[in-house]
Amino acid sequence: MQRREFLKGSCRICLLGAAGFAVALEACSPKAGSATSTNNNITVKDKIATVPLINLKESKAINIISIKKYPYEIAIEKDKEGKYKALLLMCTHYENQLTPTGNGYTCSAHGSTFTNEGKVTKGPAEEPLKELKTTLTENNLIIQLI
Amino acid sequence: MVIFTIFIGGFDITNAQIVRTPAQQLLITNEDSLNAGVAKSKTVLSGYGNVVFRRNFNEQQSIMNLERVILFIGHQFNSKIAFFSEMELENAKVTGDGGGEISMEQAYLKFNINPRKYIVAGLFIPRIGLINENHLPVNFNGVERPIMEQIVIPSTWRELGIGFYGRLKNKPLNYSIAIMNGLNGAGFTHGNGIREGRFEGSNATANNIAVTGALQYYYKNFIFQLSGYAGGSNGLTKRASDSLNIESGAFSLPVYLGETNIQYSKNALSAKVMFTYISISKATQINKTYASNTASAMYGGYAEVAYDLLYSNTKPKEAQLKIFSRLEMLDLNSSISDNGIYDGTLKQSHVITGLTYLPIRNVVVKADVRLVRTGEENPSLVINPSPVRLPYQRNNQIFNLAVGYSF
Repeated sequence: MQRREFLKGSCRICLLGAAGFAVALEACSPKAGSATSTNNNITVKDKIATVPLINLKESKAINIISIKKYPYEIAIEKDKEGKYKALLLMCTHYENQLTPTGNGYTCSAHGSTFTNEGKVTKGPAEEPLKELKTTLTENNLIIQLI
Repeated sequence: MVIFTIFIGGFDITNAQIVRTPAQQLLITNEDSLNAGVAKSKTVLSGYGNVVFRRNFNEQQSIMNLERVILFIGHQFNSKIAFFSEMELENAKVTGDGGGEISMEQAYLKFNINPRKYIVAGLFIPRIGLINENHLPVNFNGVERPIMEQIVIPSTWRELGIGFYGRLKNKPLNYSIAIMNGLNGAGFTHGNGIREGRFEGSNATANNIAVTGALQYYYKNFIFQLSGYAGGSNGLTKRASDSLNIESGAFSLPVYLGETNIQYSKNALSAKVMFTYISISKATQINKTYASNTASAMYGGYAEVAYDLLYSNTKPKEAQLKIFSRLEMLDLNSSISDNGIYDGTLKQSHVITGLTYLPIRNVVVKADVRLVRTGEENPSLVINPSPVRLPYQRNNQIFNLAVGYSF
């Protein structure tokens, strides 16, 4: 009886785990050849992301955007002169995704931290965050992805 | 910027140089649609290490030791799947008489679901405490890692399993949950908490398992963390367990751990507090079987404050000179089972004061003094003492000096 219950329980856990892992792995498969995507009205074509300005809340000092199929978030900051700066939230040590903390960014892999401006405040990262090229049009912010 | 780069296939040298640190070695093999610039297959090499000088004033003994040299090797298969590893050599060399140790601190595959969620599978370090995830010598004060995070939380605590990490999209809240192999109750030793019960990826029993989870919340200059662990410490079969008259099953002879910490950092000032409690409710069965005098409960906590003397708001400098002080209090037998023996020496307080100098962010020179005070020794635990054994002293002083690096 105990063996039967154990097998039943184990099978259920295995099936659930396998299903969950399969879904996750499916999400982990890069979609080769698909170079155009949209997300929250953000359009991407040939590594050029077009972000509607309406997506960027003026009340926020920094807007964090996600782009479908793109592995990193992008932090967009508008300075006093109205210029936009886009930082790629990719740790320059091991290219791990960064976590916004409110007053900077932190990497869970090895503990590197960065300021909101992208400067390193704690190693092992040595290089500042990569700044992406931006162009402002009437209604959109154009970001050159790498 | 000089980088050592090996190119096997097609590549874009402009993109490759943009994100590399000088010490990293890259192998670039392909490109991929939308992720062309950030999804190349590549291998990264980095690491950390430290050398220490230590003087124990009670023992009148000084030592020097190449305490750790660690190599990280990571490989990014594509933008979604990566491999991370840390291989550690302790005490410079490995000899047959138990000198040093080579071990894997981490070796796991990471599957990115999206920029905020990922899964890890393999040998990984769960999010418990602070040192576990942030153990590079440039990232903590003091030559020694906090004592509490060595013997109450057995950092670096790595086990085999699967973990899910994520954070909310619109709130600075991180979460993680993981399932791992359990501990080895047969390995628990008196005075070392649960430390010697870790399998560290080596032939772990998986009849017993553990679950762990953590929440991290960022608010202005604060980070709040709450983490927990629950796992079985008996991996024996039911038959073997019955013969020893101990319980069996996935969560048999359970170990429960709860931990919370708060960090604060603003300008030159930083501070942190942490508290951890461990319960081993069935320590009686462990003691009956293995005679290890395992406690049924233990706790530890510390508070640290540091100030960077070189900090300047107007002229930011890379160099840092931090003066710090940390108070640690712990009791590895705050509660004992019916068949346990209380050991006052495991109730300890440590006051550590020192300097951390970073001429650049990834090189550190450290010096500190640790004042130790413990409870009374229990004579019934002193068995066959050495004829040259010194009388137990409740107070001790330890001086530490170290240089360390990470890259």
